[in-house]
Amino acid sequence: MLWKGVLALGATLLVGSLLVSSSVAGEKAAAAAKIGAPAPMFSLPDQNGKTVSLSDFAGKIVVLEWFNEDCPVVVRHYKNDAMNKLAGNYKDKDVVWLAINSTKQKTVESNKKAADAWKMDRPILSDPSGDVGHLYGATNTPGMYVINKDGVLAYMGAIDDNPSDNKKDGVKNYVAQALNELLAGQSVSEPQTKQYGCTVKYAK
Amino acid sequence: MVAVTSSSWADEPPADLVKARLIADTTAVAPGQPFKVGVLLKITPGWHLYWINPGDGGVPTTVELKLPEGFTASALQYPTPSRFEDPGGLVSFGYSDSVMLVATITPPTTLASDNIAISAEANWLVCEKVCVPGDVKLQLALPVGPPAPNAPEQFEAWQKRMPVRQTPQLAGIVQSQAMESSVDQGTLTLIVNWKQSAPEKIEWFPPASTAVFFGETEITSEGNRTTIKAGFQRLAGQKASVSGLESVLAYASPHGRMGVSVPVNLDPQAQTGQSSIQSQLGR
Repeated sequence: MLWKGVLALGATLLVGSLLVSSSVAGEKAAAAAKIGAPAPMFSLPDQNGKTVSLSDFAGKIVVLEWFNEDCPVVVRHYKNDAMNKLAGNYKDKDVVWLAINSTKQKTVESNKKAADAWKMDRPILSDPSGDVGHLYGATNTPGMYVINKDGVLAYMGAIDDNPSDNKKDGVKNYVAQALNELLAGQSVSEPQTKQYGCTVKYAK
Repeated sequence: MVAVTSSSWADEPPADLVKARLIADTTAVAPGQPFKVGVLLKITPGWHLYWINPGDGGVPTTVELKLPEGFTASALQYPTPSRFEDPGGLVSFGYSDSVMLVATITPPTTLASDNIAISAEANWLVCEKVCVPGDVKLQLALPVGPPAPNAPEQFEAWQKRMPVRQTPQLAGIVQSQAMESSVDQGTLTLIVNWKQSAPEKIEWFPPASTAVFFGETEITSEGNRTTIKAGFQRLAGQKASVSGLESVLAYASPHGRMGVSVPVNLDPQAQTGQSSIQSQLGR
């Protein structure tokens, strides 16, 4: 999750003795995605070259899964078909689940290979320019977002509370929790957590 | 009796990206006498793994210790980290080349057996252009008896790289926070007063927290003063305490890179409305 706060330095500073070092690396576009705000719109090609738009799913709960098949943390979540099973479970409850690949060198073709190899029964959207990734402030894979039926962002963050994969039991899946709450007509109790995983391999 | 004071090298496939070793600063354990253990990680050049707060990238490096009955361990100490920048404005915090994570172990006042076994499970994600996870279990056996130093130069060298509360260059640090119109977002300001003119290469590493996310940081120095402004966002629904969060301030000194442990308090009760409360730190 990236965001840009406006920092006003205020008083004039003497130029002679002024040393400025900012930790901002390059240009960071302000992410439009915010909890409680309408989820930003986008259109991207899926692994079959078909254009998929978020607006296609108005009125449905939508999950966005930032994906990169080269990331071992993503691989870990696909072990034993876990991610596929999770998405499949909720597909039966009419939840739309879209994977998005913002990795700079990945293509529609490589997404097709990944979807076939990993038996993913859902779209993988190709975003090599990283524009949609930056729009959502995606920093890591897997990076998860849940949009409610009114098109409002209801969850953003990690998939679960087990970044180091060392929790022996009681791992909480934030996405399942958010989906269960939304499907029960409740508000999401933990709407925002810090993403973990490999950094999204942005082009810029 | 030959003391086994360090485990053998445990290599992580595929190409020994990280070599891990568990060592103790003592050759033997005496009842009630604390000693240190270190997990030393040697990282292939060009690769890095992450600090307790990985920043935008990765996953933190963690160590879980298994100790015999009656033994306790301090929190794990992490050396002052470095910054890594990735395309897209992603900034992460961690280590390249090598790092030793250290814990102080306190034995109970009576020891039943004449040998004690300590194990450590280390977990990391090491990255270059791609990332490779790592997970090793390390063991250490120490006899019970009169302690003598083991690997003192190594422990001393790494102790120097741990953040400290006070340094010769630092006069004091004053913290304040101001909230923006949205109740969840604010700016943390740290004003660092130096005894002489501000040093070079100042960096600030935000604390690890599940309840607060730190965004952009701006660091400016003028004369004897450095101002650090860090945007932060509270993560709704996260209940973890946000006072006493350990951030790290790093800078270059004549004696090498220094790290200062700066506790920050982002408790909403710590500030009211438009005004901000200032608390003196570093004294």
